[in-house]
Amino acid sequence: MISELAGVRKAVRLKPSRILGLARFSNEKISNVLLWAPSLLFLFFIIIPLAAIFYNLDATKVILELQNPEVVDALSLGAVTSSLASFLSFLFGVPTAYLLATRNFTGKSVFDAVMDVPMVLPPAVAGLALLLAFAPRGLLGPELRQLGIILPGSTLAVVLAQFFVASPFVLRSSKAAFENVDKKLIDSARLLNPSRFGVFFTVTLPLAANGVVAGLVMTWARAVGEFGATLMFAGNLPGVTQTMPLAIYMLMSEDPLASNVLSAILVTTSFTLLIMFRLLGSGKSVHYYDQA
Amino acid sequence: MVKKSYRDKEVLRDVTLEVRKHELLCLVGPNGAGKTTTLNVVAGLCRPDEGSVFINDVLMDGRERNCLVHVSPSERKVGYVFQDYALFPHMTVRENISYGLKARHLPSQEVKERTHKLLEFVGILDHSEHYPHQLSGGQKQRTALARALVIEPEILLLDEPLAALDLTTRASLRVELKKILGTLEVTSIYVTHELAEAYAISDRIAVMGPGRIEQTGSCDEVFSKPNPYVAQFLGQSIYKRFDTLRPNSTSPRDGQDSAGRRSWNER
Repeated sequence: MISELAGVRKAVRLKPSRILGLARFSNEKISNVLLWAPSLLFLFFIIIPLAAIFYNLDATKVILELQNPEVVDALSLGAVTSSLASFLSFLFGVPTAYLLATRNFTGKSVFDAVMDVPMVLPPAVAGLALLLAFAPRGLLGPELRQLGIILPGSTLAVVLAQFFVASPFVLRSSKAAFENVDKKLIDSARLLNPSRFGVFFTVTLPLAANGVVAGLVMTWARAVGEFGATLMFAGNLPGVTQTMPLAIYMLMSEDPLASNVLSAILVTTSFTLLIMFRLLGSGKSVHYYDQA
Repeated sequence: MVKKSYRDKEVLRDVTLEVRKHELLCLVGPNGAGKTTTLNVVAGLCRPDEGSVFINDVLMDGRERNCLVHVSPSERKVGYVFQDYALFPHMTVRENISYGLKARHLPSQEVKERTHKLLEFVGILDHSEHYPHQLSGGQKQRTALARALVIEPEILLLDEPLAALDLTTRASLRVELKKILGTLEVTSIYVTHELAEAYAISDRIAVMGPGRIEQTGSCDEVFSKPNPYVAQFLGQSIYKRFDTLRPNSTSPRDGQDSAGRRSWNER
């Protein structure tokens, strides 16, 4: 009797979709489709261009290009300049991030906002801005010329262009990491450690290391790919200012296949490094954030 | 003798507190009374706006000959056990405990010996190479205690050291904690919001109301001759226990609260 009643109740509670035999359009299924369809399309949109680079790629051509001195120059120049730009970003970005994360002062929000501008500035505009500021006829040109520094056309200009465009990544990521370090941990360290630097280097920085490293990886990747600002500010001199993206662009008209090969080399090296850093970071983070 | 008296405008309005050498003083009060702030001021983690703090009759915070004095936290020789222990998650138990000694650049042999002694003393030697996330609540608490004690502090501050533990561990650790603190005869301020805990562990009790110390005295004094505020606070905690016996009762806490404060202010 009771089970019969329960059966009746169940029947009454059935959703209209069930009654009409539309069970295969249940809420869960619909939401699954709504999540998977755009995600997979998105994934394909990213993967297909990447695959296209490696499609039709000739191994002998790759080896040939890797022996081309111009390509080797562009590769090594890009690696050196973007590493220097990342180092500069670390040197200036980490103290700035710490300042913005821990101190209060008037104009802090303006300071913070200005540091983000290079991230949203079109790279070509960034290059032009650098030119207008630091070229011999620019805002600070005369002073630089007195010091014997002529930036446009120099490797240093490449580094500065990359630093200008890519450094906000380190700053953002480090600032968030410093803000996330538990204040009580720093207080405990302050009670035990007489040196402020000691507290910073033994507790604050190690606990923020993941964020700093993630920011550095992003900065490095962005610097390697920097094109617009480098072209505008530093120019395109093989062996001096020509990085990989510039070489790829120049080869597009002369030798499309070669630019294809260069792209493949660039993608492979960047991707490998990115994966390596990810693995390194995830391995380290285990005992930082597993705290129950 | 340890003296502390200071006024901190916002959270602490008028706190006068004196802890005698080798005694365990319990600072009891409702949440938000400023107990933790009081500890932070003693530790030097925040500076009082007014008033002064003495440790061993040496001025830590305040004015001396028209000069503002503020002794940095590490120079006060204060041990602090935080409510959630605040162990360094990237260091092992041993590294956590030896941190205070290494930071003071003591000879490595001495660091090793003193760390080992404390690991043994609090009974956590078996876990010395573990990281904090691998420890149980009780083990974390012992580690935090050892880390605070390793610098041989003049005064030990404990901020609700048992609050994060489950009830059974709490009871056994309370006994052990009392034993440890008794053996070391270290001057301590022990913050709790539970009167039972305070009664079980303390030499003297200071009851704190919002921003001020309401009554200080031995357990017997405070429990048998409570002043109006303290009586009301004692009553509340009894009500809280009784509430669970009467399923439909509405808590009289809020009404009591304002009534209690009024009678106190009228005095």
